[in-house]
Amino acid sequence: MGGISVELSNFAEEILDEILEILWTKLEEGGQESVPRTDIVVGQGPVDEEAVAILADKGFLSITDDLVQLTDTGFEEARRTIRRHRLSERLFYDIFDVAAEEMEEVACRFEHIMIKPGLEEKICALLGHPRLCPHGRPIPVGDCCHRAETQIDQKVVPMSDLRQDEAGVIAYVSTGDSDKLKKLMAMGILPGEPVTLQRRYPSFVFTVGRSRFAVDQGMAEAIYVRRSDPVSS
Amino acid sequence: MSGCRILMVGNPNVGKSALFNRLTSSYVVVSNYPGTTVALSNGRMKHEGVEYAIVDTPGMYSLFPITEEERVARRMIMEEPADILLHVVDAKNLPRMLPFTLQLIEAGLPVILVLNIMDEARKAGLAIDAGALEKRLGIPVVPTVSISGEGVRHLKETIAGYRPGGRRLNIDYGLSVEKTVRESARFMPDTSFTPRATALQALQEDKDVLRLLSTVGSGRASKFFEALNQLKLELDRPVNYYLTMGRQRRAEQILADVVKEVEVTGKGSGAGLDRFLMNPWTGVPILLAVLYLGFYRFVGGFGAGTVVDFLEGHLFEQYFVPFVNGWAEKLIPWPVLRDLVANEYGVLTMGIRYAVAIVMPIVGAFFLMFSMVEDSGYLPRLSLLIDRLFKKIGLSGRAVIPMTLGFGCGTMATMVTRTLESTRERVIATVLLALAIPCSAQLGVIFGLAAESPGIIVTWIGVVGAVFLLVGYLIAKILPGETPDFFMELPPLRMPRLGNVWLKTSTRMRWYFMEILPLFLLASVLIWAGNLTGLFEAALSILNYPTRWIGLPEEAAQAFLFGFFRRDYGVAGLYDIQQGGVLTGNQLAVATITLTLFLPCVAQFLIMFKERGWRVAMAVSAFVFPFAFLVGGAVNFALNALGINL
Ligand SMILES: [Zn+2]
Ligand SMILES: [Zn+2]
Repeated sequence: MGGISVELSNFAEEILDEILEILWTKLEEGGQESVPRTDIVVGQGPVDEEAVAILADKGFLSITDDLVQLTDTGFEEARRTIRRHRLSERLFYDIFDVAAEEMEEVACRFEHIMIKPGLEEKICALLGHPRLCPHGRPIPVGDCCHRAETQIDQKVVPMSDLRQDEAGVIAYVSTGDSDKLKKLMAMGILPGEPVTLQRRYPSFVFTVGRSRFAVDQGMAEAIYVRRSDPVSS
Repeated sequence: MSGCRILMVGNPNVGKSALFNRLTSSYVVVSNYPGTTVALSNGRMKHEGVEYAIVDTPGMYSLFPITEEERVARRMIMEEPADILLHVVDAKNLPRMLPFTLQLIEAGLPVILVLNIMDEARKAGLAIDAGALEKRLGIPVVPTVSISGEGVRHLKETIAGYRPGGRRLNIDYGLSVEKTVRESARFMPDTSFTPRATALQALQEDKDVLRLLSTVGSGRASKFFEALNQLKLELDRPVNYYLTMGRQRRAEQILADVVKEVEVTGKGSGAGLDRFLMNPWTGVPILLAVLYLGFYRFVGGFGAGTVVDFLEGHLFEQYFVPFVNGWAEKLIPWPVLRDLVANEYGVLTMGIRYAVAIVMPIVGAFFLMFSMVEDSGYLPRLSLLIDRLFKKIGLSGRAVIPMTLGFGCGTMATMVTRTLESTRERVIATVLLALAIPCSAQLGVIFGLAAESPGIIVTWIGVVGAVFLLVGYLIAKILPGETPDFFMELPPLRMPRLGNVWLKTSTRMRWYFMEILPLFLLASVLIWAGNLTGLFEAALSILNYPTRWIGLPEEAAQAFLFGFFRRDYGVAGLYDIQQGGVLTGNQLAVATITLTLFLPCVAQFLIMFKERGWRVAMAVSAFVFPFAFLVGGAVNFALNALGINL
């Protein structure tokens, strides 16, 4: 995060990052380009005037009247911050099995450690260049993800990426679509259950426990599976 | 315990109806759930002089309903307390099924757990310690094999000796959820569930519970929503997720060393065949073979051919009709009333004759075949095979079941569309059933008509198939809404069991006669009245125009008009015209295509009206009527322009 002055404490950096994350999320969720100052709430407190001013100084934000907007450089910075945040979430959720309630807090701290050069890419590779965070929001794509696209070495992948007759354990069900989640859970397709994909075409056919199911592409993409033996060929 | 009421609940494919048959005597009443057309089987069980009423509910996966049928099942459990609830599960899938049992116990319901299909569990190398499970759950647990009757006696004894009460089961769903459940349980309306369980349903925003909640006062409802919104803020995933995982964890704890894997066996016997069914390259030819043998040879050849020839050509034409006509001549002095009972359009000579001699054998043969196909587990394979194609017309593979049933009886199929998830999907299926799916009675006569000329059949299949896909595609484009999800459990393939096939066929036949026969009679009364009042004359003189326009002789207009009263009346009318040798091959093709697309029969129209509301019913009719003639006209024009003579 070269742009931000070194003398700022970690605590202050967390606030700066969080502001960027808020603006990014608003843009992502509703396409909201500019946000009223008062909507930027960090933690319990209201808008941190000083932090907003610092970000504006750095050229990350443009402020018109009471509206705050990301500049192009600010957008790039926010993108990287969001990427680190959501990767951290994935890390704690998939690998360390941290409960969902605690995940947010640890992820917020850990994303700053990830600034260390090379670490982010290593973690991304370890997680199999995930596309979504545990909340079902997209993780901005990094260079490593592009490189990895040709090689199959992901650990947690959507079931639609499994090969025929490949086995694994359900890691999570994407919560991006709570309707799909309800249907899958009602049928007993739950995290922790072992799965084997039997067919990919014309529909996805897989076993969970001793039952067999058929689902379409969309449902198969919502089920994330931790591969039992990732093959790197 | 006299007057004891027992509800059977459980997943689909767990042998619930076979067990129901084992428990009840042959006297079974199939009734509709009040306000809906979801069919319920009601039966009686006698054990040591005591009588029990048993109701079999539609299959459901959890207390959270997804389809209309599941909603009915859940409503019965929640709003009409039963004395005993039999939860029937597939023993070899216990880990997946137990969470639902826990949910029922947690709701404070009087549950007996039935571990069915024990034979397959044993075959799969599983040993289940029912005694240990009984102790851990605090409810009776009975292993059974409903097909052979094993354990049924023990189950009857357990039912007779059942005393409610016993251990409460509280599952820990985590701090935040628990806090909210405790708070909101105080606001809950009365149901047969405990307040805690009702609150758990409400937290998942169960529509029925929220509806009940709104009736107990807006103050309590708004307090509840406040608590729910607070909880949603605290949780990072849907509430449903926490509840499901909580039950799952508990189920795992309970099942630890209850289920043991004795030996690991290889793939089941059906695995090879299964692979062929699910592979498009082999699955489609197999489908065509099933259609050819099932529809063409069995329904068309045997049902519509052999049996109809015997009943209609022999019994009715030679004995019944002359007999009725003769007696009517003698007994009824007024010609008008005589025509009501006998002669060309009489209730007996037309209504009963059509119903018994023509429709019953065809529909019966279809239902028999359909029940066999259904019992073998083939339909879910067909669903997954065809899902991609169906997605293009706004349906999912699930719609295979109502669509296939439509070839038997469009009216029953329209009713069954309620198993589809979204209103959009139900509307699309309803329209396609009304437009492009001919019922078996119609099919039988069409095949009979076109028997000499394969060209007619090929043209008919091509045009009707294209209309089916094209109209489906267009409606899916026009109607707002999302493409439905496809998800389905695949039961193992098995040889159809005689008992099951018989039950399914006879249930459907009984329904058919109760619902459809009165409409047959009504239709012939209407035709009689229409003839008498001259209303038909008027309608016919209007119908003559489009009929001539599509290149058919005027006599065909009558077939179209009658076709509305029973689609097959129409085709049978064509049959008469063709016997007179009036129609050319091209005209026959045009006539059968137009008639297939033409308005569905009165019965299907009424069901459409009942299930989808008058707007949809009227819109469908307004579209289908001109469209059928338009397609007929286009086919006529194309055939003539290309110089084809079929
Ligand atoms: Zn997230
Ligand atoms: Zn990456």
